[in-house]
Amino acid sequence: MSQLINISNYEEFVMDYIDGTLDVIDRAHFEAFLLKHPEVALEVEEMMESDLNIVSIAEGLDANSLKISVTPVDGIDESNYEEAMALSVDSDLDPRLANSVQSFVDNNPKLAKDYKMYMAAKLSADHQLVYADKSRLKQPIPLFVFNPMVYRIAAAIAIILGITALLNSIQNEMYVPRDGLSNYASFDVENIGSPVSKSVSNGTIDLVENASVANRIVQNIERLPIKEPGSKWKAAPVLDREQPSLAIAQTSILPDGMDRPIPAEELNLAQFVGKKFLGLSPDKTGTTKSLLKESAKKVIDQSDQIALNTVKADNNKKTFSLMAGTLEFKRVTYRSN
Amino acid sequence: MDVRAYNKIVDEHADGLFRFAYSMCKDRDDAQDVVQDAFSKLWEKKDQVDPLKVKSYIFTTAHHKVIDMFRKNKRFQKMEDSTFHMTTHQKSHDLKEVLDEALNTLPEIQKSVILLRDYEGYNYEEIAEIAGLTLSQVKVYIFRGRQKLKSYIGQMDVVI
Repeated sequence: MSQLINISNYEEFVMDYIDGTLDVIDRAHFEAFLLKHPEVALEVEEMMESDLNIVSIAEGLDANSLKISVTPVDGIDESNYEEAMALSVDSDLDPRLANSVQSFVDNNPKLAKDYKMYMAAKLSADHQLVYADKSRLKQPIPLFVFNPMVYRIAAAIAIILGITALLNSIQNEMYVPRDGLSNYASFDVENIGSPVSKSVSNGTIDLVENASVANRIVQNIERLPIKEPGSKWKAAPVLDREQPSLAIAQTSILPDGMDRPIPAEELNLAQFVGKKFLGLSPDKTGTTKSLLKESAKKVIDQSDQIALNTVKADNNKKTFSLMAGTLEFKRVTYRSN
Repeated sequence: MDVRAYNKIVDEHADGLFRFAYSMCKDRDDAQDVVQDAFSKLWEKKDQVDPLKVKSYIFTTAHHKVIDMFRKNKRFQKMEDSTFHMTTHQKSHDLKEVLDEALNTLPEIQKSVILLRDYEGYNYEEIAEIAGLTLSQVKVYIFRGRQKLKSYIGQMDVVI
Protein backbone atom coordinates (compact mmCIF):
# COMPACT_ATOMS: atom_id res chain seq x y z
CA MET A 1 0.00 0.00 0.00
CA SER A 2 3.04 2.20 -0.13
CA GLN A 3 2.01 5.69 -1.17
CA LEU A 4 2.31 9.28 -0.12
CA ILE A 5 0.50 9.99 3.12
CA ASN A 6 -1.00 13.44 3.53
CA ILE A 7 -3.60 15.26 5.53
CA SER A 8 -6.43 14.11 3.28
CA ASN A 9 -5.72 10.38 3.41
CA TYR A 10 -3.90 9.73 6.66
CA GLU A 11 -7.08 8.38 8.32
CA GLU A 12 -6.84 5.30 6.13
CA PHE A 13 -3.62 4.37 7.83
CA VAL A 14 -4.42 5.23 11.44
CA MET A 15 -6.03 1.98 12.53
CA ASP A 16 -3.44 -0.17 10.81
CA TYR A 17 -0.70 1.90 12.45
CA ILE A 18 -2.31 1.43 15.89
CA ASP A 19 -2.79 -2.29 15.28
CA GLY A 20 0.79 -2.58 14.03
CA THR A 21 -0.22 -4.04 10.71
CA LEU A 22 1.33 -1.41 8.44
CA ASP A 23 4.28 -2.65 6.42
CA VAL A 24 7.70 -1.18 7.04
CA ILE A 25 7.60 1.38 4.28
CA ASP A 26 4.11 2.69 5.08
CA ARG A 27 4.94 2.79 8.75
CA ALA A 28 7.98 4.92 7.94
CA HIS A 29 5.89 7.22 5.75
CA PHE A 30 3.18 7.49 8.38
CA GLU A 31 5.67 8.36 11.13
CA ALA A 32 7.26 10.95 8.86
CA PHE A 33 3.78 12.40 8.36
CA LEU A 34 3.19 12.49 12.13
CA LEU A 35 6.40 14.40 12.63
CA LYS A 36 5.18 17.04 10.24
CA HIS A 37 1.68 17.17 11.82
CA PRO A 38 1.93 17.17 15.61
CA GLU A 39 -1.84 17.71 16.02
CA VAL A 40 -2.45 14.41 14.23
CA ALA A 41 0.28 12.73 16.24
CA LEU A 42 -1.51 13.79 19.43
CA GLU A 43 -4.81 12.45 18.13
CA VAL A 44 -3.23 9.11 17.26
CA GLU A 45 -1.60 8.91 20.65
CA GLU A 46 -4.97 9.43 22.38
CA MET A 47 -6.51 6.74 20.26
CA MET A 48 -3.79 4.30 21.18
CA GLU A 49 -4.40 5.01 24.87
CA SER A 50 -8.17 4.57 24.66
CA ASP A 51 -7.73 1.34 22.78
CA LEU A 52 -5.63 0.01 25.59
CA ASN A 53 -8.29 1.11 28.08
CA ILE A 54 -11.01 -0.81 26.24
CA VAL A 55 -8.86 -3.90 26.21
CA SER A 56 -8.22 -3.59 29.87
CA ILE A 57 -11.93 -3.17 30.66
CA ALA A 58 -12.85 -6.13 28.51
CA GLU A 59 -10.30 -8.24 30.22
CA GLY A 60 -12.22 -7.87 33.47
CA LEU A 61 -15.55 -9.11 32.06
CA ASP A 62 -17.07 -12.54 31.63
CA ALA A 63 -18.21 -12.38 28.03
CA ASN A 64 -20.41 -15.42 28.38
CA SER A 65 -22.53 -13.66 30.95
CA LEU A 66 -23.49 -11.10 28.31
CA LYS A 67 -24.62 -13.65 25.76
CA ILE A 68 -28.26 -14.53 25.20
CA SER A 69 -28.88 -18.21 25.13
CA VAL A 70 -31.43 -19.24 22.55
CA THR A 71 -33.64 -22.30 22.97
CA PRO A 72 -34.49 -23.79 19.57
CA VAL A 73 -38.13 -24.65 18.91
CA ASP A 74 -39.44 -26.50 15.85
CA GLY A 75 -36.25 -25.87 13.91
CA ILE A 76 -36.18 -22.18 14.77
CA ASP A 77 -32.88 -21.22 16.35
CA GLU A 78 -30.57 -18.25 16.63
CA SER A 79 -29.55 -18.58 12.98
CA ASN A 80 -33.01 -18.24 11.47
CA TYR A 81 -35.38 -16.83 14.08
CA GLU A 82 -35.45 -13.35 12.49
CA GLU A 83 -36.47 -14.74 9.15
CA ALA A 84 -39.10 -16.89 10.81
CA MET A 85 -40.44 -13.90 12.73
CA ALA A 86 -40.57 -11.75 9.62
CA LEU A 87 -42.44 -14.40 7.67
CA SER A 88 -44.78 -15.19 10.54
CA VAL A 89 -46.17 -11.66 10.23
CA ASP A 90 -48.07 -13.19 7.32
CA SER A 91 -49.60 -15.74 9.65
CA ASP A 92 -52.57 -16.24 7.34
CA LEU A 93 -50.25 -17.83 4.79
CA ASP A 94 -48.60 -20.27 7.16
CA PRO A 95 -50.36 -20.77 10.52
CA ARG A 96 -47.92 -23.55 11.48
CA LEU A 97 -44.97 -21.19 11.18
CA ALA A 98 -46.80 -18.57 13.23
CA ASN A 99 -47.46 -21.13 15.97
CA SER A 100 -43.85 -22.25 15.96
CA VAL A 101 -42.60 -18.70 16.21
CA GLN A 102 -44.98 -18.03 19.07
CA SER A 103 -43.62 -21.10 20.89
CA PHE A 104 -40.11 -19.95 20.16
CA VAL A 105 -40.85 -16.54 21.64
CA ASP A 106 -42.48 -18.13 24.69
CA ASN A 107 -39.28 -20.13 25.25
CA ASN A 108 -37.04 -17.16 24.53
CA PRO A 109 -38.65 -14.17 26.23
CA LYS A 110 -35.62 -11.97 25.58
CA LEU A 111 -36.50 -12.08 21.88
CA ALA A 112 -40.12 -11.16 22.43
CA LYS A 113 -39.44 -7.52 21.69
CA ASP A 114 -38.03 -8.43 18.29
CA TYR A 115 -41.14 -10.41 17.56
CA LYS A 116 -43.33 -7.54 18.68
CA MET A 117 -41.42 -5.20 16.42
CA TYR A 118 -41.91 -7.44 13.43
CA MET A 119 -45.61 -7.65 14.12
CA ALA A 120 -45.74 -3.88 14.39
CA ALA A 121 -43.94 -3.54 11.09
CA LYS A 122 -46.95 -4.90 9.21
CA LEU A 123 -48.47 -2.15 7.11
CA SER A 124 -52.14 -1.33 6.90
CA ALA A 125 -53.80 0.55 4.08
CA ASP A 126 -55.29 3.95 4.69
CA HIS A 127 -58.83 3.51 3.45
CA GLN A 128 -59.42 7.23 3.57
CA LEU A 129 -57.13 7.44 0.59
CA VAL A 130 -59.29 6.85 -2.48
CA TYR A 131 -59.16 7.57 -6.18
CA ALA A 132 -60.91 10.89 -6.52
CA ASP A 133 -62.80 10.61 -9.78
CA LYS A 134 -63.52 7.07 -10.85
CA SER A 135 -65.86 8.25 -13.58
CA ARG A 136 -62.79 9.35 -15.53
CA LEU A 137 -61.59 5.77 -15.58
CA LYS A 138 -64.89 4.34 -16.71
CA GLN A 139 -66.06 3.73 -20.23
CA PRO A 140 -69.40 5.15 -21.41
CA ILE A 141 -72.10 2.55 -21.77
CA PRO A 142 -73.10 2.52 -25.45
CA LEU A 143 -76.76 2.77 -26.30
CA PHE A 144 -76.32 0.07 -28.85
CA VAL A 145 -73.64 -2.56 -28.75
CA PHE A 146 -72.48 -3.72 -32.15
CA ASN A 147 -72.57 -7.44 -32.11
CA PRO A 148 -72.71 -9.43 -35.35
CA MET A 149 -74.61 -12.18 -33.57
CA VAL A 150 -77.37 -9.70 -32.68
CA TYR A 151 -77.67 -8.77 -36.34
CA ARG A 152 -77.85 -12.40 -37.34
CA ILE A 153 -80.52 -13.15 -34.77
CA ALA A 154 -82.50 -10.06 -35.78
CA ALA A 155 -82.29 -11.04 -39.44
CA ALA A 156 -83.41 -14.57 -38.64
CA ILE A 157 -86.35 -13.26 -36.62
CA ALA A 158 -87.29 -10.87 -39.42
CA ILE A 159 -87.17 -13.67 -41.96
CA ILE A 160 -89.26 -15.93 -39.74
CA LEU A 161 -91.79 -13.17 -39.16
CA GLY A 162 -91.87 -12.42 -42.87
CA ILE A 163 -92.43 -16.03 -43.78
CA THR A 164 -95.07 -16.33 -41.09
CA ALA A 165 -96.85 -13.26 -42.39
CA LEU A 166 -96.56 -14.59 -45.89
CA LEU A 167 -97.96 -17.96 -44.96
CA ASN A 168 -100.75 -16.30 -43.05
CA SER A 169 -101.65 -14.34 -46.10
CA ILE A 170 -101.84 -17.41 -48.26
CA GLN A 171 -105.23 -18.93 -48.09
CA ASN A 172 -105.16 -22.61 -47.61
CA GLU A 173 -107.87 -23.03 -50.10
CA MET A 174 -108.38 -25.54 -52.76
CA TYR A 175 -110.11 -24.92 -56.03
CA VAL A 176 -112.09 -27.29 -57.99
CA PRO A 177 -112.16 -26.86 -61.72
CA ARG A 178 -115.51 -26.49 -63.28
CA ASP A 179 -115.07 -29.67 -65.21
CA GLY A 180 -114.31 -31.82 -62.19
CA LEU A 181 -111.35 -33.21 -60.39
CA SER A 182 -111.25 -36.44 -62.30
CA ASN A 183 -109.51 -34.78 -65.17
CA TYR A 184 -106.62 -33.51 -63.15
CA ALA A 185 -103.80 -35.21 -61.33
CA SER A 186 -102.78 -32.19 -59.34
CA PHE A 187 -103.26 -28.51 -59.06
CA ASP A 188 -101.21 -25.59 -57.87
CA VAL A 189 -102.41 -22.60 -55.99
CA GLU A 190 -100.14 -19.64 -56.39
CA ASN A 191 -99.92 -16.72 -54.09
CA ILE A 192 -97.08 -14.27 -54.55
CA GLY A 193 -95.09 -16.78 -56.46
CA SER A 194 -95.19 -19.37 -53.75
CA PRO A 195 -96.94 -22.33 -55.25
CA VAL A 196 -98.72 -24.84 -53.13
CA SER A 197 -98.98 -28.13 -54.86
CA LYS A 198 -101.31 -30.85 -53.72
CA SER A 199 -102.08 -34.12 -55.30
CA VAL A 200 -105.55 -35.24 -55.88
CA SER A 201 -106.21 -38.76 -54.85
CA ASN A 202 -108.60 -41.10 -56.52
CA GLY A 203 -111.01 -40.98 -53.64
CA THR A 204 -112.45 -37.89 -52.16
CA ILE A 205 -111.03 -34.54 -51.37
CA ASP A 206 -112.26 -32.30 -48.66
CA LEU A 207 -112.31 -28.75 -49.63
CA VAL A 208 -111.45 -25.96 -47.38
CA GLU A 209 -114.15 -24.36 -45.41
CA ASN A 210 -114.69 -20.73 -46.04
CA ALA A 211 -118.00 -20.29 -44.42
CA SER A 212 -117.37 -16.84 -43.03
CA VAL A 213 -117.75 -15.20 -46.40
CA ALA A 214 -119.57 -17.85 -48.28
CA ASN A 215 -122.92 -16.21 -48.08
CA ARG A 216 -121.86 -12.82 -49.34
CA ILE A 217 -123.27 -11.60 -52.59
CA VAL A 218 -120.85 -10.03 -54.97
CA GLN A 219 -122.15 -8.09 -57.88
CA ASN A 220 -120.78 -7.96 -61.38
CA ILE A 221 -118.86 -11.13 -61.20
CA GLU A 222 -117.31 -12.20 -64.42
CA ARG A 223 -117.79 -15.86 -64.60
CA LEU A 224 -115.21 -18.32 -65.61
CA PRO A 225 -115.55 -18.98 -69.31
CA ILE A 226 -116.86 -22.42 -69.76
CA LYS A 227 -115.41 -24.57 -72.46
CA GLU A 228 -117.49 -26.16 -75.08
CA PRO A 229 -119.05 -29.49 -74.15
CA GLY A 230 -117.08 -32.41 -75.45
CA SER A 231 -113.74 -30.80 -74.98
CA LYS A 232 -111.16 -32.08 -72.59
CA TRP A 233 -112.09 -29.33 -70.18
CA LYS A 234 -115.61 -30.43 -69.85
CA ALA A 235 -117.62 -28.37 -67.50
CA ALA A 236 -119.95 -29.79 -64.98
CA PRO A 237 -123.41 -28.38 -64.56
CA VAL A 238 -123.87 -25.61 -62.11
CA LEU A 239 -126.33 -26.59 -59.50
CA ASP A 240 -126.89 -23.37 -57.70
CA ARG A 241 -125.74 -20.20 -59.27
CA GLU A 242 -127.33 -17.97 -56.68
CA GLN A 243 -125.43 -19.30 -53.73
CA PRO A 244 -122.44 -21.14 -54.95
CA SER A 245 -120.00 -22.08 -52.33
CA LEU A 246 -116.72 -23.89 -52.24
CA ALA A 247 -116.99 -24.21 -48.54
CA ILE A 248 -119.37 -27.03 -48.79
CA ALA A 249 -118.07 -28.51 -51.93
CA GLN A 250 -117.19 -32.11 -51.77
CA THR A 251 -116.51 -34.24 -54.72
CA SER A 252 -116.58 -37.88 -55.09
CA ILE A 253 -115.81 -40.22 -57.87
CA LEU A 254 -117.98 -43.18 -57.71
CA PRO A 255 -116.46 -46.65 -57.81
CA ASP A 256 -118.40 -47.54 -60.89
CA GLY A 257 -116.65 -44.77 -62.79
CA MET A 258 -119.92 -43.29 -63.90
CA ASP A 259 -119.78 -39.77 -65.09
CA ARG A 260 -121.82 -38.00 -62.44
CA PRO A 261 -122.22 -34.30 -62.01
CA ILE A 262 -119.89 -32.85 -59.45
CA PRO A 263 -121.81 -30.57 -57.14
CA ALA A 264 -120.86 -27.02 -56.43
CA GLU A 265 -117.76 -27.12 -58.53
CA GLU A 266 -118.04 -23.52 -59.43
CA LEU A 267 -115.66 -21.13 -57.75
CA ASN A 268 -117.39 -18.79 -55.40
CA LEU A 269 -115.57 -15.51 -55.76
CA ALA A 270 -117.46 -14.13 -52.84
CA GLN A 271 -115.25 -16.11 -50.56
CA PHE A 272 -112.41 -13.69 -51.18
CA VAL A 273 -114.26 -10.61 -50.02
CA GLY A 274 -112.82 -9.18 -46.81
CA LYS A 275 -109.63 -11.17 -47.10
CA LYS A 276 -106.21 -9.82 -47.49
CA PHE A 277 -104.10 -11.02 -50.36
CA LEU A 278 -100.72 -10.39 -51.71
CA GLY A 279 -101.17 -10.01 -55.37
CA LEU A 280 -99.42 -9.44 -58.64
CA SER A 281 -100.18 -6.43 -60.71
CA PRO A 282 -100.59 -7.44 -64.33
CA ASP A 283 -98.92 -4.20 -65.36
CA LYS A 284 -95.74 -5.16 -63.59
CA THR A 285 -93.46 -8.07 -63.46
CA GLY A 286 -95.02 -10.96 -61.71
CA THR A 287 -92.02 -12.00 -59.68
CA THR A 288 -91.99 -12.43 -55.98
CA LYS A 289 -89.19 -9.90 -55.66
CA SER A 290 -91.08 -7.15 -57.40
CA LEU A 291 -94.18 -8.08 -55.51
CA LEU A 292 -92.47 -7.66 -52.19
CA LYS A 293 -91.02 -4.39 -53.36
CA GLU A 294 -94.42 -3.12 -54.29
CA SER A 295 -96.00 -4.45 -51.13
CA ALA A 296 -98.90 -5.22 -53.34
CA LYS A 297 -101.23 -6.17 -50.61
CA LYS A 298 -104.90 -5.80 -50.99
CA VAL A 299 -108.00 -6.35 -49.03
CA ILE A 300 -110.67 -7.42 -51.40
CA ASP A 301 -113.87 -5.55 -50.92
CA GLN A 302 -117.20 -5.67 -52.59
CA SER A 303 -116.46 -2.74 -54.84
CA ASP A 304 -113.74 -4.72 -56.54
CA GLN A 305 -114.49 -6.28 -59.80
CA ILE A 306 -113.60 -9.78 -58.93
CA ALA A 307 -113.00 -11.95 -61.91
CA LEU A 308 -111.76 -15.35 -62.71
CA ASN A 309 -109.88 -15.48 -65.98
CA THR A 310 -108.32 -18.29 -67.80
CA VAL A 311 -104.78 -17.23 -68.25
CA LYS A 312 -103.26 -20.27 -69.82
CA ALA A 313 -104.68 -23.43 -71.20
CA ASP A 314 -102.96 -26.23 -72.98
CA ASN A 315 -103.31 -29.97 -73.15
CA ASN A 316 -101.78 -30.64 -69.80
CA LYS A 317 -102.80 -27.79 -67.61
CA LYS A 318 -105.09 -24.90 -67.22
CA THR A 319 -104.44 -21.77 -65.23
CA PHE A 320 -107.02 -19.45 -63.80
CA SER A 321 -106.25 -16.01 -62.61
CA LEU A 322 -108.33 -14.43 -59.91
CA MET A 323 -108.54 -10.71 -60.36
CA ALA A 324 -109.73 -7.92 -58.12
CA GLY A 325 -109.79 -4.90 -60.37
CA THR A 326 -106.41 -5.01 -62.05
CA LEU A 327 -104.80 -6.92 -59.23
CA GLU A 328 -104.17 -10.55 -59.82
CA PHE A 329 -104.30 -11.85 -56.31
CA LYS A 330 -104.38 -15.55 -56.85
CA ARG A 331 -103.46 -17.95 -59.56
CA VAL A 332 -104.65 -21.50 -59.71
CA THR A 333 -103.20 -24.04 -62.06
CA TYR A 334 -104.76 -27.41 -62.74
CA ARG A 335 -102.84 -30.19 -64.35
CA SER A 336 -104.46 -32.93 -66.31
CA ASN A 337 -103.80 -36.60 -65.84
CA MET B 1 -65.49 -8.25 -20.74
CA ASP B 2 -68.13 -5.68 -21.62
CA VAL B 3 -68.40 -2.07 -20.48
CA ARG B 4 -70.46 -2.88 -17.43
CA ALA B 5 -68.02 -5.50 -16.20
CA TYR B 6 -65.11 -3.14 -16.81
CA ASN B 7 -66.77 -0.28 -14.93
CA LYS B 8 -67.51 -2.62 -12.05
CA ILE B 9 -63.82 -3.48 -11.86
CA VAL B 10 -63.04 0.24 -11.72
CA ASP B 11 -65.39 0.58 -8.77
CA GLU B 12 -63.90 -2.39 -6.99
CA HIS B 13 -60.20 -1.87 -7.52
CA ALA B 14 -59.43 1.76 -8.37
CA ASP B 15 -59.04 2.78 -4.73
CA GLY B 16 -56.78 -0.14 -3.81
CA LEU B 17 -54.66 0.43 -6.87
CA PHE B 18 -54.43 4.12 -6.12
CA ARG B 19 -53.33 3.44 -2.52
CA PHE B 20 -50.67 1.06 -3.78
CA ALA B 21 -49.43 3.54 -6.38
CA TYR B 22 -49.53 6.45 -3.98
CA SER B 23 -47.61 4.53 -1.34
CA MET B 24 -44.99 3.75 -3.94
CA CYS B 25 -44.72 7.19 -5.53
CA LYS B 26 -45.74 9.48 -2.70
CA ASP B 27 -47.12 11.78 -5.36
CA ARG B 28 -50.83 12.05 -6.03
CA ASP B 29 -50.53 13.00 -9.69
CA ASP B 30 -48.07 10.25 -10.44
CA ALA B 31 -50.27 7.76 -8.61
CA GLN B 32 -53.28 8.86 -10.67
CA ASP B 33 -51.24 8.43 -13.84
CA VAL B 34 -50.32 4.93 -12.78
CA VAL B 35 -53.96 4.04 -12.11
CA GLN B 36 -55.18 5.54 -15.38
CA ASP B 37 -52.47 3.75 -17.28
CA ALA B 38 -53.35 0.42 -15.66
CA PHE B 39 -57.04 0.74 -16.44
CA SER B 40 -56.56 1.99 -19.97
CA LYS B 41 -54.33 -1.01 -20.66
CA LEU B 42 -56.95 -3.28 -19.15
CA TRP B 43 -59.58 -1.83 -21.50
CA GLU B 44 -57.29 -2.28 -24.48
CA LYS B 45 -56.68 -5.91 -23.56
CA LYS B 46 -60.15 -6.61 -22.22
CA ASP B 47 -60.69 -9.53 -24.53
CA GLN B 48 -57.38 -11.14 -23.68
CA VAL B 49 -57.33 -10.75 -19.91
CA ASP B 50 -58.67 -13.67 -17.92
CA PRO B 51 -61.66 -12.29 -15.96
CA LEU B 52 -60.42 -14.16 -12.89
CA LYS B 53 -57.05 -12.41 -13.08
CA VAL B 54 -58.17 -8.88 -13.71
CA LYS B 55 -57.01 -7.56 -10.35
CA SER B 56 -53.67 -9.25 -10.75
CA TYR B 57 -53.37 -7.74 -14.24
CA ILE B 58 -53.93 -4.15 -13.15
CA PHE B 59 -51.56 -4.48 -10.19
CA THR B 60 -48.93 -6.02 -12.45
CA THR B 61 -49.29 -3.12 -14.84
CA ALA B 62 -49.12 -0.63 -11.99
CA HIS B 63 -46.10 -2.35 -10.43
CA HIS B 64 -44.14 -2.23 -13.68
CA LYS B 65 -45.17 1.35 -14.34
CA VAL B 66 -44.01 2.47 -10.92
CA ILE B 67 -40.73 0.60 -11.21
CA ASP B 68 -40.17 2.22 -14.60
CA MET B 69 -40.91 5.62 -13.11
CA PHE B 70 -38.41 4.96 -10.35
CA ARG B 71 -35.76 4.02 -12.81
CA LYS B 72 -36.39 6.87 -15.19
CA ASN B 73 -36.93 9.54 -12.63
CA LYS B 74 -34.31 10.07 -10.02
CA ARG B 75 -36.42 12.49 -8.10
CA PHE B 76 -38.02 9.59 -6.31
CA GLN B 77 -34.70 8.75 -4.77
CA LYS B 78 -34.10 12.36 -3.84
CA MET B 79 -37.53 12.57 -2.34
CA GLU B 80 -36.89 9.44 -0.32
CA ASP B 81 -33.67 10.87 1.01
CA SER B 82 -35.22 14.19 1.90
CA THR B 83 -38.17 12.45 3.53
CA PHE B 84 -35.82 10.33 5.57
CA HIS B 85 -33.75 13.28 6.77
CA MET B 86 -36.79 15.34 7.54
CA THR B 87 -38.49 12.64 9.54
CA THR B 88 -35.45 11.60 11.50
CA HIS B 89 -35.21 15.15 12.69
CA GLN B 90 -38.89 15.33 13.55
CA LYS B 91 -38.73 12.10 15.54
CA SER B 92 -42.30 11.11 14.96
CA HIS B 93 -43.62 8.68 17.53
CA ASP B 94 -46.80 7.65 15.78
CA LEU B 95 -46.41 4.07 14.56
CA LYS B 96 -48.35 4.60 11.35
CA GLU B 97 -46.36 7.67 10.44
CA VAL B 98 -43.10 5.99 11.35
CA LEU B 99 -43.98 2.99 9.22
CA ASP B 100 -44.84 5.30 6.39
CA GLU B 101 -41.48 6.96 6.75
CA ALA B 102 -39.75 3.63 7.06
CA LEU B 103 -41.44 2.42 3.89
CA ASN B 104 -39.87 5.24 1.97
CA THR B 105 -36.42 4.07 2.97
CA LEU B 106 -36.91 0.69 1.31
CA PRO B 107 -35.75 -0.09 -2.22
CA GLU B 108 -38.71 0.08 -4.57
CA ILE B 109 -38.93 -3.66 -5.14
CA GLN B 110 -39.05 -4.39 -1.41
CA LYS B 111 -41.58 -1.64 -0.94
CA SER B 112 -43.73 -3.00 -3.74
CA VAL B 113 -43.83 -6.59 -2.51
CA ILE B 114 -44.60 -5.54 1.06
CA LEU B 115 -47.38 -3.23 -0.10
CA LEU B 116 -48.87 -5.96 -2.25
CA ARG B 117 -48.75 -8.29 0.72
CA ASP B 118 -49.97 -5.94 3.43
CA TYR B 119 -52.35 -3.68 1.53
CA GLU B 120 -53.89 -6.14 -0.89
CA GLY B 121 -53.31 -9.44 0.91
CA TYR B 122 -51.74 -11.19 -2.05
CA ASN B 123 -49.95 -14.41 -1.21
CA TYR B 124 -46.34 -14.98 -2.16
CA GLU B 125 -47.17 -16.79 -5.40
CA GLU B 126 -49.43 -13.98 -6.56
CA ILE B 127 -46.84 -11.38 -5.67
CA ALA B 128 -44.23 -13.35 -7.59
CA GLU B 129 -46.51 -13.32 -10.63
CA ILE B 130 -47.28 -9.63 -10.35
CA ALA B 131 -43.71 -8.51 -9.76
CA GLY B 132 -42.14 -11.01 -12.13
CA LEU B 133 -40.07 -12.61 -9.37
CA THR B 134 -39.50 -16.13 -8.13
CA LEU B 135 -41.17 -17.31 -4.97
CA SER B 136 -37.84 -17.34 -3.16
CA GLN B 137 -37.09 -13.79 -4.26
CA VAL B 138 -40.42 -12.63 -2.94
CA LYS B 139 -39.75 -14.23 0.45
CA VAL B 140 -36.28 -12.74 0.62
CA TYR B 141 -37.49 -9.27 -0.36
CA ILE B 142 -40.31 -9.41 2.16
CA PHE B 143 -37.93 -10.62 4.86
CA ARG B 144 -35.39 -7.91 4.15
CA GLY B 145 -38.06 -5.27 3.89
CA ARG B 146 -39.62 -6.23 7.20
CA GLN B 147 -36.19 -6.38 8.79
CA LYS B 148 -35.58 -2.80 7.74
CA LEU B 149 -38.98 -1.65 8.88
CA LYS B 150 -38.41 -3.29 12.22
CA SER B 151 -35.00 -1.66 12.58
CA TYR B 152 -36.45 1.70 11.66
CA ILE B 153 -39.17 1.38 14.28
CA GLY B 154 -36.52 0.45 16.82
CA GLN B 155 -34.48 3.50 16.01
CA MET B 156 -37.46 5.81 16.26
CA ASP B 157 -38.22 4.80 19.82
CA VAL B 158 -41.84 4.15 18.98
CA VAL B 159 -44.20 3.04 21.69
CA ILE B 160 -45.66 -0.24 20.50
